[in-house]
Amino acid sequence: MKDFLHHLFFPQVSNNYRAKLLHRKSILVVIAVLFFAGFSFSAIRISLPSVLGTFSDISSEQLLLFTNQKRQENALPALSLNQQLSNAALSKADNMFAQNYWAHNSPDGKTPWVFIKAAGYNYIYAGENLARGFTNAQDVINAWMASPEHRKNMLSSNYQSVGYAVETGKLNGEDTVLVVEMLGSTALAAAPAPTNQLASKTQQEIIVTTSSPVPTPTSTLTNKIQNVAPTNPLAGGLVLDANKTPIPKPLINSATLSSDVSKGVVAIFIFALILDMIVIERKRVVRLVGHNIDHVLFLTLIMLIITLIVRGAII
Amino acid sequence: MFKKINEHVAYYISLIIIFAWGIFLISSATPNKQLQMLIFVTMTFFYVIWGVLHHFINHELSSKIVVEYILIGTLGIAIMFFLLKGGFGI
Repeated sequence: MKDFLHHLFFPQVSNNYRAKLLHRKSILVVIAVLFFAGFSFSAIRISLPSVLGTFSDISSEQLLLFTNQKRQENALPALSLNQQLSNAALSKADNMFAQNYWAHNSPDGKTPWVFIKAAGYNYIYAGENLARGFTNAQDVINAWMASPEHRKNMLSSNYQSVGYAVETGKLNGEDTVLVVEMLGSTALAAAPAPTNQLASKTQQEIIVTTSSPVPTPTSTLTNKIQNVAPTNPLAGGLVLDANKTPIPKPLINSATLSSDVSKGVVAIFIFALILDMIVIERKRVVRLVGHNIDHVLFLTLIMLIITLIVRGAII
Repeated sequence: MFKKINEHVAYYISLIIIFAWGIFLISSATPNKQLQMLIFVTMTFFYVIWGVLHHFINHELSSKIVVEYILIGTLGIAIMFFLLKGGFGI
């Protein structure tokens, strides 16, 4: 075993002074294995979703706990979990998967407020934060807190309640975990403010939560007036899928596994290239090969890109 | 290693610019993983071209070196393919 590893990584007579792993045939074998494994993983994900698939350890309780921790650190009252807002968040998540979009407004123009109203929550203030591709609740909260707009939403004194949905599905051709946070209040939470300030702040709250298009102050006002009248919880063609069968949690998280394996392969090649470079320079062996340093830089770039790709996104 | 970098500092600056540009584009394409893969393949193509040109200008180009850069580039693409196809079902 020791000799094999030596032969694989250490330039010596047995491998013609080039680490065996860096020989053309070895690289070709690794390339073939990676392509085969990619197709195999994909097939297993489809045929055996209980073994290999996408899941996260995010729960509404954790999200609420971490959000309230941040609010307490900023001397703000804790939010309470509201079932109507959770239903609205679930409807929004299902709608995003059904219509395949990653935005605050649906392709057919449904704003987040439509889902909140349809769930029967008569808000005065409302907001929405979205996240995808995260594997734990703390990372979601940290990402939102790192974004000034989302942070403003989470730390707003205007909200009293919150609802969450954590759903797994296919979005833009990618299996992902979607987190929807709906914030709201049915009464003025903060101390009374002058009318013009209040109007401005209400608008700001909704602007913060919507990337594009931004609702106009008029539509915000209309929403508020409409909320005074009782609304049908299931109006507007929205159906809360209460009978949805939960997808069993797979044994292995494919995203984490493939990310770890990819990083491992990159790290092994970087190690082999650096070792090869150091040994050859010390032994002053003349070879006609490419510059190892070029490949090390390229593989380091891949490592960075993997980190960039597997991290979650927020809007 | 550092001697080699010092001798070819202009080449490495150009390579780092290509990579920095690629990272910026990939970051901007988040969360569209198909587009990110496309940008990565393009960047790999430029890496291979850069490697071949570098050796050509320094009069040390051979078919073995061309194959080596193509193989390392293909290895990078295979790693990204495994990550995206196996991990995210792209």
